[in-house]
Order: sequence, then C-alpha cells, then structure tokens
Amino acid sequence: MRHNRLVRFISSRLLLTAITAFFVSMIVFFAVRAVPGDPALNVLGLQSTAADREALRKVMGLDQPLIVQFLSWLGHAITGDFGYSYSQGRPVASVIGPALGNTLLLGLTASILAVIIGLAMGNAATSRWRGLRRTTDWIEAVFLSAPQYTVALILLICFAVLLPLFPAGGVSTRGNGSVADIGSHLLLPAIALALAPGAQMARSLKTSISTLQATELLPSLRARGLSPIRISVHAHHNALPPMVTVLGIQVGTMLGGELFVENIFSIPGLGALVVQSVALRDYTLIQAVSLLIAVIFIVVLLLADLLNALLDPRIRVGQL
Amino acid sequence: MTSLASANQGAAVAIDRAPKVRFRSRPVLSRMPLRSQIALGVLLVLVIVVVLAPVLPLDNPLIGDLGSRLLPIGSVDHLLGTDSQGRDMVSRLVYATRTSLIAGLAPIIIATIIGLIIGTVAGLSGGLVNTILMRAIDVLFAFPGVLLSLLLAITLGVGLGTLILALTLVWIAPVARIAETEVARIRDLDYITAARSSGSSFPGILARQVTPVTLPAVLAYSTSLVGANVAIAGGLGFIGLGVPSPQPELGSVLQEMQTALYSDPLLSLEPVIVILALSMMFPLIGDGIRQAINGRGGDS
Repeated sequence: MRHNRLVRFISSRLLLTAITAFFVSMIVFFAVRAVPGDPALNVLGLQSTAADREALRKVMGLDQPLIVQFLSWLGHAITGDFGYSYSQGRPVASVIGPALGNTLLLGLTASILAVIIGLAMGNAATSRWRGLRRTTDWIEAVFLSAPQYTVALILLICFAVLLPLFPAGGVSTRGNGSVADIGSHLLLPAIALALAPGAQMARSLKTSISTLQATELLPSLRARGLSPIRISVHAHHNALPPMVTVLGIQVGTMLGGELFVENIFSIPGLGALVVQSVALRDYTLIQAVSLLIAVIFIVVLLLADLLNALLDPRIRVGQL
Repeated sequence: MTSLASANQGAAVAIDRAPKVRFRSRPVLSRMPLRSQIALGVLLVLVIVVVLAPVLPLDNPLIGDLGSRLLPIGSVDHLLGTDSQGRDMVSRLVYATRTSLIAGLAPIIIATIIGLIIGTVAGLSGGLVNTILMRAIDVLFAFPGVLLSLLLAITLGVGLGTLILALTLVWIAPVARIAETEVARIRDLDYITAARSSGSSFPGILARQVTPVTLPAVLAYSTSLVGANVAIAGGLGFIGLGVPSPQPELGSVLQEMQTALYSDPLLSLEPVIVILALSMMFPLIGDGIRQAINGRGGDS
C-alpha cells in the first residue's frame, strides 16, 4: 500500500516533468525561430548568392513546415545531437560538453556555499541575541536583492584587482589542475551566485525554527535531557524539506546568474556560451544551450521533490 | 473610577499588543519600517533628478571630450570622472538611471495589470479554467527568469520598446501566481458566496469583492519585483541585448566601464553601485508596503 503510493508519486512527478520539458523546448525552439532574418543569410553572410542560401536552407531543413522542424530538432536533441554550430565550426554537442562540466562545477560549489550561508544565517536570525538577529536581518535584505553580477564585479574589484588575493578569471591556471587551484578560481564567482539563494534558505530555516519555537517540542526535548546539539539536529531535520524546495528553486536563479557571472570571471561555461552565441548570432547554439539550461533546472526541481518525499513521509502519502 | 481607568489602561495595552487595530488608522507611509521610508525617500529624490535631468546643469551624456578620457573620480568639472570616450560620468549615470528606471518600472506596471487579471480570473473561476491557466504559468516558471528574458530579447530585437515588451512577458507569470494564491484564499469565504448567490455577475464580483482584497498584496509584491527587473534589464544591457548605444542605460554603461577595470577600478564600480542601489531600494519599499498592510512591525 505504502509502496504503491511512493511509486505513484514518483511516476506522476516524472510525467509532469516530461510534459513541462516538452513545452519548455517548444518555447526555446519557437522563440529563437521567430527571430527576424534569414538563418541561412546569417551563416553565409551578405556576399552569398541566393542559390547558395537556398541550398543551405535545404540542408538546415528550413524548407520544411515549422512543426516538422520542431519535432525533428527535438528528436535529435533527445539523442544528444544538437546540430552544427557554424560560429564554432564544430558539432554543438562537442562545444557544449566541456562548458556543461564547468557550469555544473561552479553551480555545485555555489550550492554548497549557499547551504552553508543558509544554515549560518538561519541560525543567527533565530539566535537569542537581539543584536545578532537585527544584523542578520539587514544582511539578509542585502543578500536577497543584490544582483549577482554586481556582487561578482564588487568581489572581482576588491579581491582580484585592488587586493590580488584570487585569480581574476578562468577555472584553473594552465598546467595546474589541483583542487586548491580550481577552488581559488571558483570561490569568488561561487560566492556571487550563492548569496541570494543562501539568504532565501536562511529565510525558510528561520520560519521553520521560529514555528518550532512556538511549539513545545524543544522544551520537551530539553526536559528529556537531550544535549543542545541533539536538539538542534531535531530542529534542523524538521526545517530540511522546505529548505530543499527553496534550494531547488534557487538553482534557477543561480543558472540565470551564471549567464553574467561566468562572463565576468571568464569561466567557459554554459552561461558564457549563451552570451557568446548571442553576440555571434549562432541560433543553433543558442537553442541548444538554452534548452540544456532549462532542462537542468527542471531536473533539479524534480530531484528536490523526490528528495523531499524521502525526507518527509507526509509528502509522499499526500497528506500535505 | 480608578479601577475603570486601570481597566482602560489594560485594554490600551492589549490593543497595543495587537498592532492591527492600532495601526489601522495611521497612514500607510508611517506604518512602514524606517528602512523602507528611507528607500522611498531616496527613490523620490532619484526620480526628481532624473525627470529634471534636461534642465539640470549636466554635460551632454552622448558627446565627450576625447582629450579627457577616463578621468578619475574627483576631477575638476567631472566629479565622478569620465568614461573611455571622455563623457562626464555624472551625466551618463543620471541619464542611464532614467532609461533603467523606465525599463525597470514599465514592464512591472504592465505585467501587474495583465498578471492580476489572469490570476484573479483563474483563482475565482477554479476548475478547468484555473488548471489550464496555472499550468501554462507553471511552464514559464520552469525557465530561469534571466534565460527567458534573454530568449525574448533575442526574438524581439534590441531597443527600449522591445526590451520593455520582453520583460513584461517575463513578469506576468509570477504576478499571476501571487494573485491566484491570494484569490484562492478568499474564494470560498462567505461574503463571496453571498455576492454570488445575490446575483452579482462574475466581472462584478471580480471588481467589487475580489480585487480590493487582493490588490494590496499584489502591489507590494510587484514593487519588490521592480528591483529584480532593474537587475535583469541591466544584465541584458551588460551583454549587449538592452537599449542600443549611444543611449546610456546602466547595463551598457557597466559594460563600457569594464575598460577601466584595471586602470581605475573605482571608476568602473560607479554603475555597479547605482544598479545595486536601485535593485535594493524596491524590495525594501515592497517589504514596507507588505508590513504596512499586514499591520505588523516585525519581519514579514
């Protein structure tokens, strides 16, 4: 019975995710296809002959009805074939590969930082000292609304230009791939991406803990002689599911922020690739990278949901 | 007599503990926390400066003196220095703020109107209409906002008008969702049922019973969104998808000042600080409105 519900929960989430991904790919495809201008002209340039352009249009499949083009594009994309990038002179898939790795590395570093910031600030915001609570409130307000690229530029100027403590760009020093080296390259951009998500998680943790403080759970645990650390573990376990949801949603903010932050720190990731392909008007590449970013976000949301089902049994049996 | 007075005093204290009652009578502005009032004041000053920009004694923001390029902060005649084309930074920043405020406010105002209509209609209708509308909204939520705005900005082409249109499309979904949530909270309350059973039309209920209740919360939310929108507009300008040059816009000014990143870091920091200030101001004001509505002095 219980097993059945879990299967049903997971399969319904998977189905919903697939449907969302389909519509998202539709938006990506048609938004880019609606760009005024002839894609063939973009590739071949103004000097090309009409016959050449016509031939390329055939190769690109542009003579087919739009819906056929869309389904064929989607079909190929699912099998990992995103077409050919004219600006890079390579198949899109081979351009995306390394960029995806860099973006995931930066995103993961930022997520870990965000969790640390969230835990620290959430606890500070519910501390017994009024001064600390007030200060955290202010810091939270700043973190929540500071655009990531402004934070990135301020960090870059302060800690890479004025005080050259960290490298100003790239993922690693050439010929040095050690963890410490990569870490020093990723720290500043990761902080820039992690502040807002961290503050959002802190907010969620604060709400959970103060709701909990209004109940008798904590005093009763104290009365039973549990150590402060054990009590804190209990309090955080309850706060976890909403924090996971917030982190999932905030990954979207991070992915969006990476468009600018990767650019500022010259990190060759998906975000930098989007911006680059926009500048070069390489629409095949824009479509592929946008789809990939959107799909990463959808998958993260799905994972957050599933993780929550594991953490909070009430969710999977549908009592919440 | 004394006992009555002390009883009254007790009542006064009790009311004091329930701010809702005490605050109702005070104007919205004074119910806001101090930091929101400060933010509102700064915004007002900015708006006045920006509106009066053409009559203020500012240099031409488009024409520079090539002999005085990248002057540092505090130069004679150029208090905030000059950019790489010798244009006065004070003037550049004032005019850029003007463009950015338009690009920040206009989309949110339009999106709030459309989102409010979609959200309240979906919320009040319920059933199939609600499902269809809200599922469509959910699909838009599956996009990181920046990415969606970037795609739309590419599709619609560069320019202030198209930028506003693209950003409007981005913000309809979030506003609609908040409006729907607000309406869903009151949909089955007795006074709505009463209006329905007394023969009020759907638009009538929407206008008289629903909107007055949902509007304040939606407005507070929308005000906060202006900050995020200014940030995204600036980001798009930063990567060349905003308002085309030479018209100054904070994002493109930010991009141009990157040339001074190593030679004069503080100079390149100027537009960053203006964007930061603008993006933080609106959430503070929005928070203030929210707290004023909720009648609570504490955190939201």
